[in-house]
Amino acid sequence: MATATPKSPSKSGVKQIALIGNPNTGKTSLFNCLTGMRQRVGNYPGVTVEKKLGTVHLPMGQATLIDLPGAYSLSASSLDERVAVDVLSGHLPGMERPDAVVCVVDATNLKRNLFLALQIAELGIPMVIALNLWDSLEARGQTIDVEELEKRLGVPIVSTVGRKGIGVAELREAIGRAFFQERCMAPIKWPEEVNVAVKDIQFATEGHTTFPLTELEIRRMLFDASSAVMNRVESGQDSVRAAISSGREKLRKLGYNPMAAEAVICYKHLDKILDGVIGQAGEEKERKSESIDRLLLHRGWGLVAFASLMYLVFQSVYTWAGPLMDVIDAGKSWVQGIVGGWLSAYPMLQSLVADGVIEGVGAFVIFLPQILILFFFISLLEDTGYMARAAFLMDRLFGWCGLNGKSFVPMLSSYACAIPGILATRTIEDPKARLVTILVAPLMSCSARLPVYVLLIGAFVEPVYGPFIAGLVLFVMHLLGLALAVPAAWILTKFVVKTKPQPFLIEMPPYRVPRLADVLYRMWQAGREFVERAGTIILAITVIVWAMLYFPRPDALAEDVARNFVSQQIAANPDSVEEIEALLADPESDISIELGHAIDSAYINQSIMARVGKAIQPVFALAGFDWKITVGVVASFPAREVIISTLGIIYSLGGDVDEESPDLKSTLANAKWQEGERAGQSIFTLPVALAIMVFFALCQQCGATVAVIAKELSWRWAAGSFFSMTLLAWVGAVMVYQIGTAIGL
Amino acid sequence: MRLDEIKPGSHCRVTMVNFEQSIGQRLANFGLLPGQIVQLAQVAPLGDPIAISFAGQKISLRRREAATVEVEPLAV
Repeated sequence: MATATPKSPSKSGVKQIALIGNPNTGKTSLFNCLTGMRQRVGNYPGVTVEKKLGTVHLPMGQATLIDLPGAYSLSASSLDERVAVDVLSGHLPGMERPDAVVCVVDATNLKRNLFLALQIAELGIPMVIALNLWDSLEARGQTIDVEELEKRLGVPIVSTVGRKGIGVAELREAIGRAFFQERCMAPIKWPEEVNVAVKDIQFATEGHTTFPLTELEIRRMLFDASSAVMNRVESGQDSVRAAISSGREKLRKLGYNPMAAEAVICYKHLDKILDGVIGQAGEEKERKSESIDRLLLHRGWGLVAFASLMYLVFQSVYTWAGPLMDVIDAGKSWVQGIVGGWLSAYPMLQSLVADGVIEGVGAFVIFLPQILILFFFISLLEDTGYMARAAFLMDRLFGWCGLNGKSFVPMLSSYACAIPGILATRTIEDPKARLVTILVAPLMSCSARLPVYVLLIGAFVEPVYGPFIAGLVLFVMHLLGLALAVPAAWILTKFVVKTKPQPFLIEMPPYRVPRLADVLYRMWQAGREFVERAGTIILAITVIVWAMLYFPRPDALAEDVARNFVSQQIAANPDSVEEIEALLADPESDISIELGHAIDSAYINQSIMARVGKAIQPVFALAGFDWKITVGVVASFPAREVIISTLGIIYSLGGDVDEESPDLKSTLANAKWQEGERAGQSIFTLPVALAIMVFFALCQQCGATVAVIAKELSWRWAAGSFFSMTLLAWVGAVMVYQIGTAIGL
Repeated sequence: MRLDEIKPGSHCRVTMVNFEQSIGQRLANFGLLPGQIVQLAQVAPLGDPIAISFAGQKISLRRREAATVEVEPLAV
């Protein structure tokens, strides 16, 4: 490659360009403009920080653009900032130190944005500054003397409007210039004491780290109260700490508070740099945002606007996704029918492909409409700047139990479905609040629980207590999860999750018009990531459950059931033997269908799943469940909504029943204990029905949720969440049944 | 006087920031340093958090954290 390559040539030959900037600077818009669809999204090794890479064409050839998480500084106190420091220093496994940095700067807030650029300048990497949101600057009647600023900072500066793609070509060209001419930003002239302190610390760390620490990292250790860079020091920590404190002592002697020294020195430096560069301050745009805020943050109107917006978001996920989900469901059945037809000669293969594989693919594709619609709204809320306001309005409500204002949208979405809800927690910057929000989100009563409530309330509550109480019970079921989520969040924050919470410090950016392309990119990424990460796991779970319900499958069982069935039919109508035989020969006849249901029921009742259910039934007996309910509950662990069809199969009604089915309701109402002390009594008493509902309300019977938690956090958290929710559900069901029975419901 | 005690809409000048707390350094990175003039822009409907404007930006923070900043009120 080129001979003019700066200090650290990438081994792969492909140049690495890092894109960094404060949040709300339109960095993502610029990234999308530069890379187009050539983007890859993943996680940095070992942490849940999103890693976004893209391919970009530059004067020096094709390069990889690394979109670093938005950060206000490199203090390395948050996970995002730590990753940024590691990437810029070239200390992440599998990632080279970048060959150049593009610093995206909000042209309307130069000083604060250049603070970050100054910190990066310590690395001595070629840099380009993109003065983004240039149109907002012009709308305010302000100007920036770009030429003069370029002279003072020593790096190429390009004015851009990422939202409209303006200045992108110039930006590409400028990156090439910075790279070939090795244009690095002139670092601050630090007081001599700081330079001495940096040398001392560098000396103390020598030989104690895997990689030699960069000057940037050394400064982080000196200036930041609890820098994550300290973790890079593997031995000799005491002498490093001593060097740091003696360095801080030097700062104190100079009259600086060591923790503020960097900010004070940098901002003073920036005052000098920016002196005379920014022209004529008007306040046009600010006033517009300010008057919108006066309305949207008003104690009355602001809350009304918030409630209406959230209602719109919720309706869109809860209701409008419905038709799309129906289309996917119908498509799945259609494919199952066609493929099932091809394989009808091989019943086991047919069932594996149709009920296992195709069902499993359908099981994750079905979530896409909700995810895409929710992320459409989330990117609108974020790109307009309203998300920060929503968090501001709601923070008091959530803050005290360890969540924060940004937990609202994920929790609300989880009432439709926990999958998009959990994905939406990515908008929460504080990792601790995000973790706790993810863990309590599955307690919200999602739409898949509704059929269970409708069936049981319709069969056991409404006929006895009337529609008013029925509606009340339905409402209470929806509140139950939320009521438990609040103390659960408090306990998790206080006792379980040990990481330090981040202060709730968020910028409320000026209101801006979002760019449609960015919104579409965001939807596309959310959907693609979900399918790539969770899809295979959900598919695997579905196939495993299919196998547990399908096997063992002795042919003799079907023959036995058929023989008994026919002899019963003949015994009931001894005169019409020929008629019965004719009907049985016709697969569409009522008798044939009934026989089919009886065979399905016999198979499922001796399947591996049923054996597991029967084995653990004693545990559920405390909640009043018989073995059939227990098998239904166990079979619903991968996806709670299958309980209805599973009960249908178990009770020989076939799998096509739904929650409104009168047959299913009356069958449940008439089910009696066959043996034991309660023989002859009804199985489904009101306490049993309530206990089942409570169990479904609190249990994490959703393989997709487990898969998504595992991918967003870790398998350990996923397992912890699964088992604790199962335990909670069991305790709740037992309590409801025992108390309900005791008070004679 | 502390930053959480000033009246909505009024201006004040920062006199001291408690940099021993991690929030202090974060605020300093935003440019909230002694001498900076700040306006209390809004108070959330439930009384907390608050939104402050300074140096052409608006930041929201909780009262507990605002209490680490000492200010003197300005008559404007």
